Amino acid sequence: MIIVRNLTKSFGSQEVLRDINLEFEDGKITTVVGPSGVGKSVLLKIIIGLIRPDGGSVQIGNDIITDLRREAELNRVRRRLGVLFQGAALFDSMTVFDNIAFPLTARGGASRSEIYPKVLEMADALGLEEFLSLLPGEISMGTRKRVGLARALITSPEIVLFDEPNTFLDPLVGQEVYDLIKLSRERWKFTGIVISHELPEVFQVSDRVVMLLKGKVIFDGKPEEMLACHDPRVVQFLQGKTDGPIQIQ
Amino acid sequence: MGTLSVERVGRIVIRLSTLAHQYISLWGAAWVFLGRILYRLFRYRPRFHLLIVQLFQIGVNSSLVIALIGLFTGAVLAVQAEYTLTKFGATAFTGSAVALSLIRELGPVLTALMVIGRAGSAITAEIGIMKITEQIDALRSMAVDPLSYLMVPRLLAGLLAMPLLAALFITVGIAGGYAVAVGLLNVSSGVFISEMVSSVSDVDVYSGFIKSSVFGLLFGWTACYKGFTCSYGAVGVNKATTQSVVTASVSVLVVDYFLTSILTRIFLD
Repeated sequence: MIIVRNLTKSFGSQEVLRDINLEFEDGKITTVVGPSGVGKSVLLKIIIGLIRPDGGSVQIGNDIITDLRREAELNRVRRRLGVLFQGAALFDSMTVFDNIAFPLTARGGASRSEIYPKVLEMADALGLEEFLSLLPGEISMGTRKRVGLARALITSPEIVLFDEPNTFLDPLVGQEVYDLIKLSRERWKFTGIVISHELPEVFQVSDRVVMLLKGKVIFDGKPEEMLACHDPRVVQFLQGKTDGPIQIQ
Repeated sequence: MGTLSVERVGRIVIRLSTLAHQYISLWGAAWVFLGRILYRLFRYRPRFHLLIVQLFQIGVNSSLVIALIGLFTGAVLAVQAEYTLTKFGATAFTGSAVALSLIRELGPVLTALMVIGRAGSAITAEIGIMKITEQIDALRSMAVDPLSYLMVPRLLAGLLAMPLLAALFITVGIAGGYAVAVGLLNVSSGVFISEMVSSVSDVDVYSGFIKSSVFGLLFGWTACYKGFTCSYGAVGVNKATTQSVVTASVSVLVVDYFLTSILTRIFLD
């Protein structure tokens, strides 16, 4: 389980996260939604240990990641995570095969004969067999996202984080990514955190939804509860209207 | 009027102290960055396959342009040296002048400037783009230290490649100088070579080697630091690349003066 307690973070005078308290249940996918700039990606990066909060803590299992100072200690926790970044963050000089294999090769300990079948199995599961010898610049963004997902899953992590998985994608390819998230969760049984502003499409992969606004949690519940919610801020966000209590900045 | 002047002076002082603080912070951060890379260089086993790739990109891929520049630098030196030495009736020392200039100064400095322009800008751009496209965050999230994985091979490759490239520059430069002096300027071949051999000592070679190594460190350090700290967007990468080349080039020339003074003092004493 991931537990977030009293988390605060500011950048200069701008308070991005204010006293956030959340629990992410094992085996479930929690989607964090909210308008652009409310701190969703910041929350994700604090959980990964890429950004230090100003206050509060994040606990992953028995480790309080925000208390860990040395990279070696942080890396011990990060080995339990898989991350799909917004733009996939593939390494441009490596082929699709090498990108997928990277978490296994870079950390050492696995031989080529062990890595090869694992990568082929993952590529087969996500429909990437024909792209393995290509470079990221030679494939579409939708395919890059699939490669990013394959790379995130290759080490069978306990927790997978998705930072706006459908950004830069058309609706058809976006639906394909949601299908892959569902498929991979069925197969690999991880705990998932999805950052998104795509409503209501993201509900299909969500067991629980959390909405952030002005640094605070204003909704925490099931997708159907959010759809039935009468909070005008939630309603405005769901309906995508510019008029309402949420001011566009 | 008096009050306004005091206020103005106060603002200038505050502005200058802010700039000084920023400058010192920047330098401090750069030294900490170098320290972290050097710690990893000595603490952990290097990734040899990454080092080989960087040696190829920095060293092998620069060798043709270094040889070309070296050739014409040697040729120009021969022309200039012969012209000047003619006034003293000392054209016999053309070989010495060409060789000593190349080995002690022009070889290390011009090689460094060429490599900075070619490979330094490429390294900064590559690392900067990795930063803005979250590839460095991806490395960290996969428990891979970006300093060990990206910076150590580049710094080490610069340190190893620079003296070798300078040696290439010097060798080809001397060959170019010889060709012009003997072929076109009627300097005796035997005299060119004998004077060159008698005037160049071990100290000159050590001096050139030490300079090249220091310049190699400066090149790798600056290129990596500027890429790692670049701000977001294409403008950020553009700015970082320009700053990388300018900072490294100026640093080479400034450090060259101090190194020349120190090494001359050490080897003469």
